Amino acid sequence: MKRISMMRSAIGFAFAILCAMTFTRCSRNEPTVWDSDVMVPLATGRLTLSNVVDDSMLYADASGLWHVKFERELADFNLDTIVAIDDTTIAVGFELPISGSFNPGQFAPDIVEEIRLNLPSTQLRHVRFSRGTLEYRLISAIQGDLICEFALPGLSRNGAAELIRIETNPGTVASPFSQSGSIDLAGYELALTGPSNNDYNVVETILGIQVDPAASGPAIVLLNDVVQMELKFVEPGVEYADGYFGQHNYTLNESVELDASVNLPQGTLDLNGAVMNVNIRNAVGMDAQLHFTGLRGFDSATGNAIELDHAPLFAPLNIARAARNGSIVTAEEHQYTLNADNSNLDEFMEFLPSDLTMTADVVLNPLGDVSAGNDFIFLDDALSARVALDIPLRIGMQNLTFRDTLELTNDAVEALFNGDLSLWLKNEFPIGARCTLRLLQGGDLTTVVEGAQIDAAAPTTSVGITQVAESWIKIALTPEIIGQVNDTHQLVIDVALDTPGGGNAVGIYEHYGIDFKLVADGTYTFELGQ
Amino acid sequence: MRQLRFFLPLMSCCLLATFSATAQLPSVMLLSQDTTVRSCNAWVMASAAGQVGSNGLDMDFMRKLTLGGRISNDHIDRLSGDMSSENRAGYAGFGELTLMNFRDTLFVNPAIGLKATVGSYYHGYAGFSSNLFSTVFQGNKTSAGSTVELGPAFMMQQAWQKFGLGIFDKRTLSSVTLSLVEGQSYRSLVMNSADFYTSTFGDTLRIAPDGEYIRSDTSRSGWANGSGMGVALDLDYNLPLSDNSGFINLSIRDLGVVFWNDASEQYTVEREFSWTGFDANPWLINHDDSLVAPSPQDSLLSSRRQTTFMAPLPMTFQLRYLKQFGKGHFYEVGWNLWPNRVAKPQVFAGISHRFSDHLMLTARAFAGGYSRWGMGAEVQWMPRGKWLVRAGSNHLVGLVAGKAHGAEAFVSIGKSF
Repeated sequence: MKRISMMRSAIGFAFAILCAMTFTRCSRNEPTVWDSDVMVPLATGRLTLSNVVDDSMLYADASGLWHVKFERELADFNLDTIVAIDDTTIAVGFELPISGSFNPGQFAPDIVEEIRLNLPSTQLRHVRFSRGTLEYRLISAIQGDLICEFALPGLSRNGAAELIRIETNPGTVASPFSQSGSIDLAGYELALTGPSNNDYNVVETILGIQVDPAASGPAIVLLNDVVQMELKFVEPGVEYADGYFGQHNYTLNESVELDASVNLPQGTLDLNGAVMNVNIRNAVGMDAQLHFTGLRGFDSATGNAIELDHAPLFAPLNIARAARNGSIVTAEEHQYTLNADNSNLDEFMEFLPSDLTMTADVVLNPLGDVSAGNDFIFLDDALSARVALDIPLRIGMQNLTFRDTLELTNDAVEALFNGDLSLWLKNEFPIGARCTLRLLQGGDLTTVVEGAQIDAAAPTTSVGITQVAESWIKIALTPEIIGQVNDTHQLVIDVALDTPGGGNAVGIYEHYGIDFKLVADGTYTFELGQ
Repeated sequence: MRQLRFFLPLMSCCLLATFSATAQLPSVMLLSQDTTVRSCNAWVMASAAGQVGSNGLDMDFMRKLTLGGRISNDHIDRLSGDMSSENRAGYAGFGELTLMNFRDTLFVNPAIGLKATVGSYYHGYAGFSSNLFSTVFQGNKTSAGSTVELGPAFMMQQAWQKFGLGIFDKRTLSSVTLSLVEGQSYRSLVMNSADFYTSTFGDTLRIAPDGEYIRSDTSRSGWANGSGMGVALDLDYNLPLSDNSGFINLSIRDLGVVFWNDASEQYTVEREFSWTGFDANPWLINHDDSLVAPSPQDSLLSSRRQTTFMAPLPMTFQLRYLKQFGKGHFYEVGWNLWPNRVAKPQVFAGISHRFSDHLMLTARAFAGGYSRWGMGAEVQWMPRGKWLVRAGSNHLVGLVAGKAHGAEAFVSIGKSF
C-alpha cells in the first residue's frame, strides 16, 4: 500500500509539472514581432489646380487657360440705418368722465388715435418688417367683464389687418386687470399714412370697449376709471420701406481682407492681363452721388501700401434712382473696367495686397424730395459697390513662397516604421517648387524635409504643351521623427515656386496636373496577436 | 471514487494539451507474460500526446510565432537561407481516455472484450514556399521589379472529438472502434498559385491568387460544441510473433469523415488584385479628413458562398515491426503516414531493452513527417502489472533545443481494476 501511495504521489507530481509546462508554454502573453523590409504604395493621385483652389474662384477660358476670379463687396453703405425704426412705446388710454352702471352688451364709443413716430430725417409711408416684436398690455380698472378690441388698421399680414381682442375681468384702480401678449413682426407690413391715407410716420389705432354680453351683472364705472392699451415695438427690423428718405451725406472708409480667403504668398509674381471690374449698382429708389477718393492695397506683412491708379474711378459719379414696377425693380448700374492699359492694375496685383481699403464720399437724394415721397428700398438689394477681379494665370514667379500650417491630429502614431517615405511626382506644370516641411513644437522648428526640389515641366513651342518632369522626394520617417510628430501638433509647409528662366511668364492650363505616388520604403515592424 | 478523483483531472489535462502525436501500442503491455495484466476486470488508460514539426522552421521560430516574442532578422535570414523551395509544417495532438473491459464476454467469445474511448484531437499543417516565407518575414524589397510565385500554399486545421465504442481481442489487444465524431472546427486553404509583383519603385503591388478557402461555422466553437458531425473508424491489428518474440502492428486511426453544417463558408480566390495606394483624389477634392482604402478582401474574394461540405478526418496509418534479438533486446522498424498534401511518409527504427516483464526502455529515431528527422526515447513501466506508465518523446531534442525542427511528447497512464 505504501508503494502504491508513493507511486501515486510521483505520478501526480509528474502530471502537475506536465500541466504547468503545458499551460505555461501554450499561453500567448506577448505579440509575435518581426521586422520586414517593405516597399508599399501608400497613396496615389493627381493634383490639379482645381483640387487646391475653390471652384468658385477658378474657371478655364476657351483655350483652357485657367483664370482666377475674385468677387467681393467693397463697401457697406449702411442704408438700413436710414429707414430704421427705433424701439417705440405707444399708450392708448380711455379715461371715463362719468360714473355709473353699464349693462351687459352696452358699447362705449371707439377711441381712434393717430400716433406719429419720431423719425426726424425720413418720412416713411410703408414699411415691411424682417424681424422684431410688437408687445402689448391692456390695463382695466373697471369693475366688470369687458370685451376690448384693439385694432391697428395699418398693421397687416397677407392683407389682413391686426386686431387684438382681450376679455377682461373686474379690476380696481388699486388692483387693475392686466393682460399682456406679443406679435412676431416678421413679414408684417405697417402703413404709416394714417386715416387720411396721405400722411407719413403715423400709426393709427382704434380701441373699442363693450360690456361682455355674457356677463352676470352690470359693469360698475367710477369717475376717471381708465382702460389703457400699451404697445411697444421691440427691435423692429425693416426689409422694405417707401416714402421720402431724406438727404444724407457721409464718408465711407471700408477695408476688405483678401488673405482671409486666399493664402497669399510672398515673393515675386508677374501677372499679365488682369482685369478688375468695379460695379456700382443702385437698386434703391433714391438718387445717389458717389465720389471714390481712394482704393489702396495694403501688405500687412511688410506694412507697405499701393494706390490703385484709374482716374475715371475717382471722379464723382451720379447714379439715378432705380425704377420700380410693382415688385420688379430695375436697378441703375455703372461699371469701371481696369486693366494694364488704363491703370496700374498689374502692378497693384503683383504687389499681392493682403487688404483693400476704399474711401468714398456718398450723397443720397442730392436733389431732395424729387420723387414726391416715393423713394423705396429693398434692404436685401440696395446700393452696392462690387469689385470683380479676373486674373488669367499667365504668370511668372520667382521664389513665390506659400506657407501653410497644418494641425496634426492628436492620434498618436506608433513608431512601427523606420525608413523613407518616397514621393514621386510627375509635374506637367511649368512651375518648379522647393518644399520644406517642419514640425512646430513649442516655438521650435524641427526640419523634416529641407528644400526638396520638384522640377518644373519644360515649356514647349506649342501653346499649352509642356515636357513633363519627374521628381523624387525622400522624407525620412525614423522613429525619432514619428515620436516628434506624436509630440507635435503643427506641421509647417513652405513651398517656393519658380517659373523657368528666372520668372518668365507661363500659362497655366486646365489640363495640367501633378501625378503623384507615395511609397513607404523601409523596415516595418509587424506585430501579430496583440 | 478515489480513482475517479485521480483520473478526472488527468483526463482534463490530456484533453487540454495542445501537444499532439500519434498513438502507439504500449509494447510492454502486449509482450508481458504477467497474467495479472489480462486477468483484471478492466483497464482504464489516459493518454495525451503532441508533436510539432517542420522541415523549414525551427522550434524557436514556431514557438515565437504561436506564443509570441520577437523574431530576429538573423534568425529569419538563417531559416530562409536553409529553406528548400517547398516547405511544410504541422502539428498533431490528442487527449484520450480508453476503457477496455476484460471481464465480460462478447459474441460468445471470452477473448473479445468491449472497448470505449473518448478523446479530443487536433491536427493542422501548412505547406509553403520559401518565397512566401521570405516575402512575409523578410519583405518584398528584395523582389522589387520582379514577380515572385508565392504558391503553392496549403493550410488545414481541424479539431474534433470522438466518442467511440468497439471490441478488442484480449490476447493481442487488436481492436476495432467505431466513433461518433463531433467536428469542432475546420479551416482549409488551397492556394494553387499566387503571383506577387512588386514594381521597381514599390509604387505598385499586384497579386494574382488562385485558390479556395473553406471554413466551418464560426458562430459555434468550443469542445464538443462544433458545427460538424461524422463517423470514424479506428483499427489496431497486432500480430504476435512466435515465442512472444515480438509483434507486427498495423494501425489505422481516424478513417472517417465529418459533415460540416450549412453555415460553413467557401471562398473562391481567383481575381488579380492590384494596389497602388489610397486614392488621394477624394481627399484632395473634398478635403476629407480621412482616406478610404479599397478593401483587398472585397476585391480578392471573388466569390463567397455558404455551404455544407464534407471533409475527411486527417487519417494516420502506421505499420510497425518489433522483434526480439538476444536476451531482452528488441529492435523495431516502422512506417507512419499522414495522407495529406504536406506530410512526408515517416520511417522510424528503434532499439528496446526489457529490463523485466514490467519495464522497458526504447530509443528510437525517425525521418520524415512534418519535420526532418529526430531521435527520442521512451519508458514503459507496469508496476505490479496493475499500472501502466508510459512516457517519452520521439523528438527529444526539440523539447529543449530551439534550433531543432520538431518536438514531440507523449504520456499514458493506465490502471487495471
